[in-house]
Amino acid sequence: MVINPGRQILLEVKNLTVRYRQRNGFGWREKTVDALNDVSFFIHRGETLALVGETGSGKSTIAMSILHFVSPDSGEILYSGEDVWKFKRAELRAYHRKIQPVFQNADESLNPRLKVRSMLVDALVPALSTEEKNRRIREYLSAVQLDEDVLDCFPHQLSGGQKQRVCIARALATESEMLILDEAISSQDLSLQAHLLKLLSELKKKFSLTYLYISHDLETVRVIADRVGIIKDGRLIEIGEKDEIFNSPEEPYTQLLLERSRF
Amino acid sequence: MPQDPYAQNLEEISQPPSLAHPFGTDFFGRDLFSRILYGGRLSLTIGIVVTFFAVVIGTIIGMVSGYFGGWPDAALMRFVDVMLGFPRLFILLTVIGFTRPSFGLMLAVLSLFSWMEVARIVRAEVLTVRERLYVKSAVALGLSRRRVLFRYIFPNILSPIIVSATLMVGSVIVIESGLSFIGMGVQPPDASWGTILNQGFQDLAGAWWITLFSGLAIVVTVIGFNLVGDGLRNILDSKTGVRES
Repeated sequence: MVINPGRQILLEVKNLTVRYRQRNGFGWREKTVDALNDVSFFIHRGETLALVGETGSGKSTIAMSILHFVSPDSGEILYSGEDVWKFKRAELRAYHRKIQPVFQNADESLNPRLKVRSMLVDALVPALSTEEKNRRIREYLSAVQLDEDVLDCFPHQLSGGQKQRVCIARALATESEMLILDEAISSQDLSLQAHLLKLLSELKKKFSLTYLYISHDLETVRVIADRVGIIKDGRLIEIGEKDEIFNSPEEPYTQLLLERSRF
Repeated sequence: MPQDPYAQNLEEISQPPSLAHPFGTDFFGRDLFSRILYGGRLSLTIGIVVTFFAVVIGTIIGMVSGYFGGWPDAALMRFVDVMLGFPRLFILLTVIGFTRPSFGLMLAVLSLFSWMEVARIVRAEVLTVRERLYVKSAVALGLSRRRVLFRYIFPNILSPIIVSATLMVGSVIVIESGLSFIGMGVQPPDASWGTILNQGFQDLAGAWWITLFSGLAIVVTVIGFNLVGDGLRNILDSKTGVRES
């Protein structure tokens, strides 16, 4: 792991541990399950870090913890050097606007009772004038290559790809600095995946974004990532530059994942 | 056809159904059809007004409880348990027994003791919906809690609220009729269906039409509201119904 002194660390996760408590049917005997065990990594401003792991490895828990939805049992999450879990409500709301999630299930991520226009307006800075809001909405729509027709649609009137683009547009509309892409394109078909990957790369340049790209799919990771971390059973077992991980993986598990993905 | 429901006609006491009086007349010669129509106003008003207040109270308490969780939730839910512990009918009888029976009092007491079920339903719905990704996404937009609650959660729990409200109208009408039947509800000469039912009971063998038609009015109305409620549930609930998209 080489820390490049010229680059600023945007997000740092330090010794993150999350346990889920399970009770048996009678409420006796609590059992704890380690979802994450002592996970540490950082993301430079402007880079794409991919976290790869199988289903249930805990990679989504990392996203939820960074998003302030799952509280860590120990460890810290630092955004621009500030502890996210010590934020007061106003600071938290400001922080939330800077890091935006895009989830795998676009269907579930959009309020079924709101039109696309209202959703995007909700994401914009409230103080803007109406004309400025409309201008920005058009800008973000064209950035994700959507027609303006979708503005008056409810989510169920849109296709899967359109919905995911609306989610991305909404994430951009908060003037975010970082997107957390939790399997964001995994449920789309292959040609659409390629398309969305290209779109994500363009958006990253255009809006100077930082990505945390969470996926089980090494092929898309190979395309988009700068650095790659491998998660297994709640531990970060290996992290490094993309080329290092893909060309000379050290851990046997990483080698296994790579072999499987060659099919 | 409807006549003055209060006009007594001593020449036509206890007449069986005829062309002039399709439901017959009561012991004071008043046209029963007109009285049942007018009584429906009272019964339906009570059913709908009580349901309205119960739904408003229940929704507010359920939303606060479900969304904020923690000690407000624990406190409110224990309060709901306590309220459910009181048998609603006996509380009503006690309160009315200490005061003079009146329309307003009945509305107030019924409303105050009918919201608990709604509160529980709403709380359960909020608990489910708040875990949805669209609510999490809304929180991540930095929206205020009020905005998340009213714009993202409330519209998505509206259908179960509508369904339970519809079903509640019927049950409130039954309770009102019960109270009026035992003389604790709407007082003569005003008549709700329960009051008329009570009158008919005094001479069931001699003037069967009074009991029959007022009873039928209650039964048909309650079944009607329940059917509408069931229908709405099927339409609004995406899990059981077929919804056009």
